[in-house]
Amino acid sequence: MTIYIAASPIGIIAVNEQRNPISFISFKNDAKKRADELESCGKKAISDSEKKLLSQIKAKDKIIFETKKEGYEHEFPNHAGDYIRLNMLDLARKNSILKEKSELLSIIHETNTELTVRKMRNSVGEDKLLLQAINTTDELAKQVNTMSMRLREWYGYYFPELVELTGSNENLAKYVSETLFRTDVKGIIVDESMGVNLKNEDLEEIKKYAKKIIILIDEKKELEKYIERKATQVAPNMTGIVGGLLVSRLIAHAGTLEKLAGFPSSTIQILGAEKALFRYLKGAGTSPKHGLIFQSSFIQRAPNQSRGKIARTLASKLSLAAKMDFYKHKGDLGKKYKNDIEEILKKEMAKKGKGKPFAQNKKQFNKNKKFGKKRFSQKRR
Amino acid sequence: MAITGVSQFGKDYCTRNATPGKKYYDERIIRKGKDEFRVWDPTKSKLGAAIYKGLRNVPIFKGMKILYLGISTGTTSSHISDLIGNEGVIYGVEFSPRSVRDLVPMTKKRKNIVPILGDARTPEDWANRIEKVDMIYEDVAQPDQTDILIRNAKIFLKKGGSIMIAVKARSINVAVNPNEIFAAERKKIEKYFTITDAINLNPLEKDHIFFVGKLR
Repeated sequence: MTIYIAASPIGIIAVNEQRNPISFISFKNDAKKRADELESCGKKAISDSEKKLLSQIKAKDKIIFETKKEGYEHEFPNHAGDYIRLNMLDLARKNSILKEKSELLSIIHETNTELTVRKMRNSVGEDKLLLQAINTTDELAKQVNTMSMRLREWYGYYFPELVELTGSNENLAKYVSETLFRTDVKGIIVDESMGVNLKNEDLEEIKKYAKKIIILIDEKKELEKYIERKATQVAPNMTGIVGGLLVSRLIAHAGTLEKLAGFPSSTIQILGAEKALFRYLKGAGTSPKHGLIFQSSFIQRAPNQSRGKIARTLASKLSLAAKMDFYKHKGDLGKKYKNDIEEILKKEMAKKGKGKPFAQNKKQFNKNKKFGKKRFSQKRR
Repeated sequence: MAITGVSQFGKDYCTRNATPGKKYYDERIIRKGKDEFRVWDPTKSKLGAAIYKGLRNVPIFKGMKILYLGISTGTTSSHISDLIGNEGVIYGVEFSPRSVRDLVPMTKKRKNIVPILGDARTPEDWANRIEKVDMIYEDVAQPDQTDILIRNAKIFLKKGGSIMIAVKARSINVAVNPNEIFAAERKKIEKYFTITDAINLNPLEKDHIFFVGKLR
């Protein structure tokens, strides 16, 4: 005889081939315990309640579970599952689990809420933290830029020469928040300034604003340090090749480290250049050589004609490293890969000037020109 | 013809709020005497859009059990929850933890919605947590969404049960004309179900069609 076994929020049931219940083990009347029981029923090992149920069944019978169990067959959905999902209310009444009909709903509701909440607690991986952090740095950078532009305009009324001279936003904000009043610096003579004379009260407001910019800049720097640390923990091999910031950007673009590890290296190569890729696929323009990985110093140092090659090498090493990082491969290969790419880069740099300057496939280029819009086909990156 | 439980005030379709004083998304509230009605926003809910576009045969009744695949944050299901009352139940399956984060607080107020964090593609993961149902509602926007519906219907749908599915042409194939996709999906569904209504949701939802059907 074949016996089918399935679990439910109220308990575990065994039915025979004719779909008649043989035995039933009810769970303890508590949402957390029910959730525990259901969780252990979902695992491969036999749970205590299942042992109890099995002891009530003759040893000769063939047993089929609804979920995968070690040493037993499984079938989904099986007769037991069908039976209990259809007759849960009757079964609960017979085994005096309920006093009222409406209690069944609250049992199911509470058990499921508990299981869902438990799963939610494990739903955010460390890679998601990296994603939020890197997006925050981008937003901070944007914020600092807009605020600095305002500062330049505002402080420019008072000391235009200095604003003109100072290139970096950070330095200007530092000067305003620390020194504030006009002083002689590098070739500027205060007495010759064409700035308006502002009252102290007016200048104080500008100073407060500059201090806020400094705070944001510091915050961004700290966040970047945090990202470097965190990326080394989350993706040590990838970080060994290109550094934490770019790794975080790649993870953020893919969504999770799991997705990034699933990408082939060609996808990683052009991650972030989707617009150019689809434009190329439509028949206009040329295919992009690199997306986000352009930010890596390998590609920026490479001579023009071998950037595609370096991009391919870098992407392939990154995709290997991503897989290692996601599947927690032991051993540190990031550094080795970095050296490998460094060597290839050296060879390419030595070739500089000797090879063909820029192998442009004229036929392809003309074809693209014919089909595509003009503005797409003219520039080649 | 009116839809059971859905009241019409002017142009607006509303459901009586089962939890007076509480709102779940940015819906408008209309008060008539002691009763409070929540306006069904057709731009946020595909079932709402179908009703605005003329769907009258809505197979939702008091005390019904419903399996909702892709419940998301629970905009549509809050209205279905109004319709089925305290006796009924919605088993809401959602894959994205971010959406479930917004869903769970609502299910604490509406006890007839059961939140399940799981994948509609793999019912074996959460099958032992629910009962069989009278209706399956699917809104998952996946390339194989019809197959997902059929598989779940085989496992969870009672005899004579009905289905509602919002088919999104753009998530099946962007390159093909939506009407061709709708025809192909309709054929697939008609193997197992009799389609009673097919409503194009244009312009409320672009390239969407809403099928209502009954198990053969």
